[in-house]
Amino acid sequence: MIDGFAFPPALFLIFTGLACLVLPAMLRPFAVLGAPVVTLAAVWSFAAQMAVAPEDAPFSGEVYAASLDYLGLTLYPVRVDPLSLVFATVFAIMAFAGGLYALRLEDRRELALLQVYAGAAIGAVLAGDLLTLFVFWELMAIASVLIIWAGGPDARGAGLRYAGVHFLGGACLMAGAAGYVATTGEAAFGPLPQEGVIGGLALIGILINAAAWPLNAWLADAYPRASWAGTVFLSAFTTKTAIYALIRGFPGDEWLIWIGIATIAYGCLYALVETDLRRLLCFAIVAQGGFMMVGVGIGTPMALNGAAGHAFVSILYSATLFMAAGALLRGHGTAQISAFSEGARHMPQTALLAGVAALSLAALPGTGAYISKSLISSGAGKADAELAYLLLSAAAAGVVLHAGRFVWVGFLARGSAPSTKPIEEPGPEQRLAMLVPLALVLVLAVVPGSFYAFLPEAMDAYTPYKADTLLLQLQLLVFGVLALYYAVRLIPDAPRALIDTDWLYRRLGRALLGTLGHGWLAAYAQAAEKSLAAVQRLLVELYRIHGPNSTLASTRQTGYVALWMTALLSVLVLSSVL
Amino acid sequence: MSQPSLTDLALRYGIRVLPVVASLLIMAEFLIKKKPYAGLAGIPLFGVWFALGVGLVTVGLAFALRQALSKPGAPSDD
Repeated sequence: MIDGFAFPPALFLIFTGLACLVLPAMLRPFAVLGAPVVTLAAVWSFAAQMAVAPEDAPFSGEVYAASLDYLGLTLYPVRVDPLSLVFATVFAIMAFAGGLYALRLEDRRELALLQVYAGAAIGAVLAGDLLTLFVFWELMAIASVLIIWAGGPDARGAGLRYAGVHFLGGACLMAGAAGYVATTGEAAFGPLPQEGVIGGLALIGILINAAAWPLNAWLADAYPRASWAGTVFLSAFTTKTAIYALIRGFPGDEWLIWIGIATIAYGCLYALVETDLRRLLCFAIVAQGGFMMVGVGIGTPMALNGAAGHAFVSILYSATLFMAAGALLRGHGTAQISAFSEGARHMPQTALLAGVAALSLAALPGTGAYISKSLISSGAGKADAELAYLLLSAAAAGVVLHAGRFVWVGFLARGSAPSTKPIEEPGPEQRLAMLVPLALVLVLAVVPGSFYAFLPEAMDAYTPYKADTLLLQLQLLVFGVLALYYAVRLIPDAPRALIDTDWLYRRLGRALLGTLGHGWLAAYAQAAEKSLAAVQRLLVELYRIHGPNSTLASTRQTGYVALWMTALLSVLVLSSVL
Repeated sequence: MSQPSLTDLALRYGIRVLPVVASLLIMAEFLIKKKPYAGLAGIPLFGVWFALGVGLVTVGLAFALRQALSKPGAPSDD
């Protein structure tokens, strides 16, 4: 149904975030944990009012939307339909779990920013029109930059680069959106043109946020610079909001299949050689985003469900992984794997949770990722995308390698320069925060039918637990681990800085700017020098003529001056008469 | 007596357990796949050689990547 104005649920989180700046410490946990629950309740109360959209509405299928007329356009600040419901639900769950994990943050400003950031993401996925989407998109960018800067002085440059990249992406999205509104007169956010400048600009803007290769260097550059709590939030919202926008705006765009495959390959390779545990996880979420892009590119109901479902599940297990990495970071004071020393001995519960989350990352049958990823693979198989299916199978084996390496270097191995700092389990509420999303991932795997019914597209019945599918996945997993087992010692753990596509603007760009800058400065200095010399010559000449020692200023006899005056007056009289 | 390191334990037991699991999976293939399968699934032990191949190629590429496109030291913020 299309309703009048309704209060956007995202504002509960945003206002709560702002309130955290002034609330006393004893009330902040209630606000941080209560706001996601209220937001989720509001979203589901709207979902309960979903009905088939009228024919003259810009939406189709079951939807609840609240409309608002602004600048001659009909805007929809709230639109709840099966797709936005999936993302808003998991974002609210993540805001709750992340908030629980972050309760020990001492900086109340960062705690406030985390709430605002989560609220902006929920606002973006509930936006029914491009203008509202853009507003929340940019709010998300601003909040995330501030969260990165809250990581400390080392995050300053990365935050600036992040801001530059994301504001460029926002500008592309806005340009595409403005073009779309201008040509169609319609602001509702639905499938966008897949060809031409308008669609291309919007797609680039979204792909930047989705961390698609080669536009993804910002992610591993910036996220690990944030605090132990900030990275947990950052890992969940920006890229998945972009995946939502791809499902909404570009379903079936075949380019996304190949961009997704390239993104998976890049993520798997970089994760395998990275020596910073949080950067390793950043590359892992880049690779997972690639799976979702492939699903969107295939575009069948099953593949789109796979993309949405995998976004839902990967947010949950990635949260647990980043929380575990945050616990190691807090304990050791660094995320460099060479400093780790058999974390499982000191924090066995965290190691167990991280191990199960890593198995989920590797899509072990019995975890949520298996039932979501198999939708994408089967979607590729049923859409006769043989090559995509083959590459997805290869990617599944590739993911096993870095999932296994995460557990190995994080919790089992002794680094080459182990830290002597004693480490211990994180607080009980932080372990609970790791358990909540992970438990959900495991529960979903037990009831795949219910999970599939929750996904946005109507599709044919699908059973993920078939003997041959299970066997193939297990073979990929076990033999992938076997390959890792013999090869892992080839890659030393000493800190290394990997060159990424950000080299183009961090090194080449700076060098070019420096060279061009020197040229411009030299030309400017030369021109300024010449101008100054000309002005000086003019002043000298004027001084020579009019100065105290000049001809005009010299002392003359009165008669000599009178003679000159008479001559000049004669000339004047003669010229007047003639 | 000092405790054995987790690394040693994992390597010691991993080397025993993994081949056993791998062998079971290979046997399972011949028990389950009685009827002929079409396409890739029809290739005998597709998952096995595919995973090993992809794993080794990926590790090889990653090693080459590390040698060619990285420099010692943690990434800087400049």
